[in-house]
Amino acid sequence: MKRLIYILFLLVAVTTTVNAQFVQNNSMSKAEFYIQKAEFDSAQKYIDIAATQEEFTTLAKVWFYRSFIYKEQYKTKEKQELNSELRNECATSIHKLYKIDTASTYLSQAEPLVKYISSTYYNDAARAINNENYELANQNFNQYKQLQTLINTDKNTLNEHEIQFKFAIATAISKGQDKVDSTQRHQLAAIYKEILAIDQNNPSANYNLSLLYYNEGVDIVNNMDYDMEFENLMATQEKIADLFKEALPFMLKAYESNYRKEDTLEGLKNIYYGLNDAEKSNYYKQELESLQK
Amino acid sequence: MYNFTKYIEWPKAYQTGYFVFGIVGDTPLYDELTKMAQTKKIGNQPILVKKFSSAAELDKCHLLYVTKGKSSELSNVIKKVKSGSTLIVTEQEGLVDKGAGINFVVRDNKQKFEMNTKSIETQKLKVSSNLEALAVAVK
Repeated sequence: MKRLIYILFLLVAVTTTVNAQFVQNNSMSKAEFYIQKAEFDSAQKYIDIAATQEEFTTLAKVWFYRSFIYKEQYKTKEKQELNSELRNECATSIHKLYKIDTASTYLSQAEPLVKYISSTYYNDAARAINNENYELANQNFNQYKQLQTLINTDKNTLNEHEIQFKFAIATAISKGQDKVDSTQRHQLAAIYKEILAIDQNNPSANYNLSLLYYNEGVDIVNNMDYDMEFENLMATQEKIADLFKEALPFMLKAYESNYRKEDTLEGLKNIYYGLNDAEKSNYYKQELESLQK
Repeated sequence: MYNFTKYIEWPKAYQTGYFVFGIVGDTPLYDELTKMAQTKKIGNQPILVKKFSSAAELDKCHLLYVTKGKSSELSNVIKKVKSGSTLIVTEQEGLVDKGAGINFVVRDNKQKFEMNTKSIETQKLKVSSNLEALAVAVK
């Protein structure tokens, strides 16, 4: 009996020693050990070491674990933060995993994680818009988009989401007002152009972009001084004509899409009038009048 | 139109009293000029804006704008004002050759003007060479 206790004691001691040595010498194993114990601070410490070690850095498993650990850390520590470093690290690891896991060993396991993290980015993009932090909103949305691309989300769906997101920013910037200042105008024009880069026929973006250029021209006209010297008058007229010319193709596109027919007809009538093209202005004026009958 | 008055000199007899902008026909310009008349002067002369429906109604004007719709009245207008010093402004291609002093034209979607110095001087008006330099064509 005494002998048996001794053997058992020895076995436990040896196992512990072996384990201790194994954990001590292998950061990857240590990380795994702490994951199993749900001690993610320690797991994070060791997976970060493993990720930089030559023997592990090319292993898909490292990046899968790292994604998982950082996701858990984010959930525990930074879930309320719109710009979470822990989440960004998680996303970085996910991208690394998808790049090196050519055999797709971990990808099916990683997919729910990718969906979860990308959804948090999407939600925080919306929250950043509400906080008027548009730069962060864009960053978060781009993270969402890049992660969704990894799991082969339909491109059309992603484009739709992106367009909705950009319109949401545009609405927040303009605060639903027609009158915008010069800074807002530039921001809005950039957004509408981005939308048109995704969908060149988007009627609302075409209409709104045209309206921005047109209104800028009208603002200049309204603020012109009677005493303006002829030379300045000519130069200003050039500028106004350029703005109306910029506005025209977008308004025509919106009109061709049958978008807000009365408004686009009104827009075309006014743009052509501003371009001193009475014939075309009258054409759209008549079409508008017959529509309103 | 207000700018034209800076480059043209009217005879002494026209430099007192109201400076009269006349308009033959209908145009939104009437409202604009009326609005301007409330705040601006031509030299020391307050501005008066008058509207005429035909050449027959015309009386003394410093500057007379013949709208596009009334372009066919130009010859009657010229007859009516020939004894005075009226700058005739039109907005129809070709009218600068038919007696208008200044004619608005559209070039590259922008409003420009051409002028007929002889017609202007016939009305005993002096034109600054600076205005000629700004015109797209000088006859």
